[in-house]
Amino acid sequence: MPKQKSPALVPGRSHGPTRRDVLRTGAAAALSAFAPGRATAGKPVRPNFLFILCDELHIDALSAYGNSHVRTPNLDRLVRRGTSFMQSHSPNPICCPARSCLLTGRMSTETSVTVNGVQQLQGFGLPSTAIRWNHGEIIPTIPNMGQWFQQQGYETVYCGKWHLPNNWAPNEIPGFTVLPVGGGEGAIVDPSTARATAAYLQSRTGPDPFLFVSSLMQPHDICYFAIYNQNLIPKDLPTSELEKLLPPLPSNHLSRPPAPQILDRSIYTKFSELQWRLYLYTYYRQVEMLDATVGRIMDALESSPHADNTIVIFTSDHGDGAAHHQHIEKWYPYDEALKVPLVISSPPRIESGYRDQQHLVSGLDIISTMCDYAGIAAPPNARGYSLRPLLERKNVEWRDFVAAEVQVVGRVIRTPQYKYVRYHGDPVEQLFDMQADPGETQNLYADSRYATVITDHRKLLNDWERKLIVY
Amino acid sequence: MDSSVSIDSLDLFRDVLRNFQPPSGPFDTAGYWRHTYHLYTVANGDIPVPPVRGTLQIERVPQSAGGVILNINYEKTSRYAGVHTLVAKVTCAGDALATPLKWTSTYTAAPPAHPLKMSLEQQGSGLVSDGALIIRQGAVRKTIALPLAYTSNWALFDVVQRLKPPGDGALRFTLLDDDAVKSDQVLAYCQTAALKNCWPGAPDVRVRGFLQIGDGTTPQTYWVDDRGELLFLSTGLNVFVLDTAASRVRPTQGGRS
Repeated sequence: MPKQKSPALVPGRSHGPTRRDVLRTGAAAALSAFAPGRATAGKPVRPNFLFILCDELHIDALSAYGNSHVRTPNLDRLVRRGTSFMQSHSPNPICCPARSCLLTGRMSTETSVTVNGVQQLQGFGLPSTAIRWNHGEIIPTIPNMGQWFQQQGYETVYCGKWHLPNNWAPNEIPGFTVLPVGGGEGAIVDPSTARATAAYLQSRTGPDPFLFVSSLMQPHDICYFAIYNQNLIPKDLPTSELEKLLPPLPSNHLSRPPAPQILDRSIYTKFSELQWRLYLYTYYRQVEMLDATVGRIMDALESSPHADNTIVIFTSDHGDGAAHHQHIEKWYPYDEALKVPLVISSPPRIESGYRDQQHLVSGLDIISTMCDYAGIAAPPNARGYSLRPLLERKNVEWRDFVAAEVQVVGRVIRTPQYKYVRYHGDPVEQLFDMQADPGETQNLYADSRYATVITDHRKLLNDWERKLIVY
Repeated sequence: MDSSVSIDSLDLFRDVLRNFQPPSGPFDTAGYWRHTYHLYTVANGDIPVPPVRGTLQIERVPQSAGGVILNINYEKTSRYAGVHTLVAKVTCAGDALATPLKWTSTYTAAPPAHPLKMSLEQQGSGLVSDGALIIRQGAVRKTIALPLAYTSNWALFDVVQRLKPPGDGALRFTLLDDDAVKSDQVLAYCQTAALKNCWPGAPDVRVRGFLQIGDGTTPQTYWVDDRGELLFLSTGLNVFVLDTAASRVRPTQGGRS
C-alpha cells in the first residue's frame, strides 16, 4: 500500500464555492476572540477541539429528540449543552467516503474515496479511468483535518476508527499522532477509545491547543449483527421479557417508492416483522452503548483543565436504515441514512440547548467551522460553510441546498422543501416533498406538476458538480 | 426439556467451539475458582475462525468474614493495534447478585512507549457509602443513589453460576458496566441444550442459558454446564470461551483468604 505523502499545505481561501462569501471563513476572521481569556503573552488563546465521531447513528435515535424506545442520557446531555442542527446531512452515507468528507470538507468524488474499499467499485460498470487513485485513502493533494491543524500549531491526535483505508498501522494517519486503539467491534473497542480519550484529556499539558478526534464504532455493530445473524435471529423470542420491549416498526417500513435499480436492490426482505423489531431493539441498545462511551468522554472533559476552552463537536458519519423502507445499514439517500446528529457545544459561548430546525447543514461544514473558531483559513476548495454565524444566532443568508453522493453514481440535492435523487445512468429519478412527506414514501418524479421543480434541482446538481475538482 | 435445535448466539462460533474441552470433576459455585476466558468476535468478517481478541482472567476468592473478592485481569487487543488492560479488584457481598461494595481498577490504554510521552493510565474506584455509590474514574467523581438491586458486569460471571433453572425466575437489577450505570437489566433462564446435537463436531456437553437484556446491553447469553460452571458468554457477535486447561478450581496456595 503506498504511503501518503504530506501535501503542500498552503492556507488558502476558506471555501471553494463562490457564493455567499459572507458566510465563509477567512484569514480576516483570524484570532477573532473566541477565546475565553488571553494567554499571558497577550496572544489570544485558541480553542481546543474535541471531535467525537460515531458511526451509523440515525438522527432520530436519541431520546433527546423524542425517541421513547432508547435512553441516551449522555447524548441528551450533549444536546442540552450545545446547539443541535436538526437538518444535518452526511455528505455520503457510507463509512469511508463520509469520513473522507468530514475530515477534508471535500466531496467524496474529490477525495477519491467513493466506496468502502476498491473491490466495491466493481459492479458499477465504471471505466478503469474512474479508478485512478482509489486505495481507500484520501488523495495526497487534499489535506485532512489533522494535517491542516497541525500546520497551524495544533497538537493533533486521533483515537479510534480510521477506515481510510481499512487496514492501517499505528502512527500512519497523516497529520495525526495516533493512540493505538483502532477500529473493529464497537462493543469491544469503544470503551478503550473512551479510556484513551479520557486519559489524554486529563493528562495532557502543553502550550499548544489540541485537536482530538475520538472516533467511536457504535452503533455500527448493528451492521455485523445484520450480516452475520441474518439467518440466526430467532423466529421466536428467547424470553417473553423481550416482547414488551420491542419497538414498533416505523410507519414507512413497507414503503417502496419507485427507485433507481441500485436502491431497489438494497431492500432487505429476509426478516419477519418480529426479526425487524428485534433488529431495531438491538440497534437501540447499541446506541445506548455509544451513549455510555460518550458519557465517559464528556465526564473526563468536564473534569479536566480543558473544559472551558474546548469546543465539542459530535456527529456521525451516516445513519442507519433502522427498518425504514425495509432497510438495514446505510448505502442509500433516504433520510434514515443521510441525516445525522450534529451537536456543537462550548458553553457559554455557544448557546446551550438550542435546536436549529431550519438551516441545511452538512458534514462538510465541520472543518470550516473549526477553522473559523481557530482563526485560521479553511483548506483550499473546502466545500462547506462555517456554522459559526448560526451558532452565534446571527441573521445571515444561508445556502439553498446541501449535496450528497452515494454508491459512486448516486447524487442527492436537498433543498428546504425537496429532496432530489439521481443515479447516473439510471432513468428513474426521485423527488420527495420533504415537508409534506418526510418519510419519503411518494416519489414525485413522474408527476408532471413537478416538472419545473425537477428541472430546477437537476440544474442545482449540475452546477454543483461542475464546481467539484473530481479526481 | 433439552433443545436440539440451533443455539443461535453460539452458531457463529462453532469452529472455535469445535475444540472446546468441557471441564469435569467437582465444581463448587460458592467456592474458590479462577477462570480464564478467551474473547472471539466475528466483527469485520473474522469467520469462520475468528482470532482471539482478548483474554479475561477472573478469580473468585471467598472471604472468611463473608462475601467474596473478584480479581479481574482483562487484556484486549484491538483489531489494528494496541493492547489494553484492565486490572480490577472487586469486593462483593455474599448475596445472589454478588453486589459490589467497593472496588479499585487500573486501566492502561496504550503501551508505555507511546509517542505522546504521557501516561495513558487511569485509576478507578467505587465505594458504597451512606446509601450512595461513589464512583471515581480518573479525575471524574460521580455519586449516585444506591440502586435497590445492582451488580457489575464482572460479578455476573459469578452470579450466573449460582442460578438454577427455571425456578429462580428472573433477576432484575441495575448494571455497573465498569463505571457506566445501566438500568432495567433482566437476567432470566432461556434454554437448555445438548451441544452435541446442535451441529456436527460440537462438544459433548449440556448447557443451560441465561439471557441478559437491558439498557445499553445487547441480548447476551451466559451458558453454564450442569455443574454450574460458566463455559461461554455469547452476544451473537462475540463470545467468551472458557479455557479449561488454564482455569482452576482451587487456589494455588493458601486456600481461602
